[in-house]
Amino acid sequence: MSDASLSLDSQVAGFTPAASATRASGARISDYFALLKPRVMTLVVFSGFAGLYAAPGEIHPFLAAVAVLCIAVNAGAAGAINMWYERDIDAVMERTRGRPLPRGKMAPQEALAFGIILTLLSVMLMGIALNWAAAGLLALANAFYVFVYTIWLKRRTPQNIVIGGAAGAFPPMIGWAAVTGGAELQSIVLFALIFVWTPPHFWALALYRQLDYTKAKVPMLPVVAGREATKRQIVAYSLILAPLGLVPAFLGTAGIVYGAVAAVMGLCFVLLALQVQRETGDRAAKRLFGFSILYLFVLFGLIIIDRGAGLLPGLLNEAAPVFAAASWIVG
Amino acid sequence: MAMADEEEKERMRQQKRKNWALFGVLITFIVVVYFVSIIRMGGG
Repeated sequence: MSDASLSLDSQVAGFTPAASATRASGARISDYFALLKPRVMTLVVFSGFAGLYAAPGEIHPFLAAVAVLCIAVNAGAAGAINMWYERDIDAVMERTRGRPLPRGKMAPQEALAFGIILTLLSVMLMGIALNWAAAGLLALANAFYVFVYTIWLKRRTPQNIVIGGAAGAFPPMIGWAAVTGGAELQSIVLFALIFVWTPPHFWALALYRQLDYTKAKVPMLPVVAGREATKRQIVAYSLILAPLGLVPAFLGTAGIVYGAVAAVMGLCFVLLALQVQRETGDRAAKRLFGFSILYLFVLFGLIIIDRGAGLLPGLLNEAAPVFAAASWIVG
Repeated sequence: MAMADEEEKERMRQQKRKNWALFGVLITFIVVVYFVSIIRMGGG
């Protein structure tokens, strides 16, 4: 452990000694919570829930809640291990230097142990509570994020987030598998949607955080290939994303309202990408980054609402005796 | 010297809080597994 810490410490200039602390230095519970990357977790939970909710079949509401909890905890655990590994570059980058490890709030091995324990607990619980297919996918998503993205690709290739983005695309598939016990075309499309969405989302961020990535020697596309090449790639990916966003409507995962909104938002995505290509400043990139988050939230939100509307007649039917009893009491 | 004592006390307080948090997490985990077992045994 200490050898690994030392070799990492020396990789990036400017790495603060605080980050190499080997003894706990008063981490609070909020620091452990910060290790879980709560903002990233929000999207993971939301898309995982959408996959679970859209899947055909029924599961006990408590088990559904456990599945969502497992997805959330597992994503957080992967985030903690990521922070352990990237503590040297986190200390250099403006966006990440406030994280618990660069601030020396805890020893690196504490963060690693925290991440590993949560990974094991969440995978085991998913297997016991739901099924082992979902647990396997959960473990795969975690391993992909830690080993393929964080350790292997991130510091080596500008395609890091293209391939590594798969890790963030797993949650709807995991949610789906929690209900059905397997993967189907509909869940693979939800995976593909996030997979294709990831590059333009992160490249838009990288365009206005280029200096950060350059300082940390992370080979993001704008750093390695330049801004113009990145902008071209953003447009290319948005052109694939816009029609792909419609596919859940054609497959019956979502309804016509979803289809209409996905068409309009896909068009907006392409227009914003073109604006990024035209403009020289960072404003358009910031706008695209913000819109990309909204895009995914709205699309997965509509998948949930569409499914909810489909279930409504059944729920009303089941609730009919309760309504009848209530009206008898009132009337 | 007094400053070091104070720091040590604060560290102990934080360690205690962390231990309680861990205890809470473990109890929650046990309760969740208990309910999962009940539901699974009931065919849910």
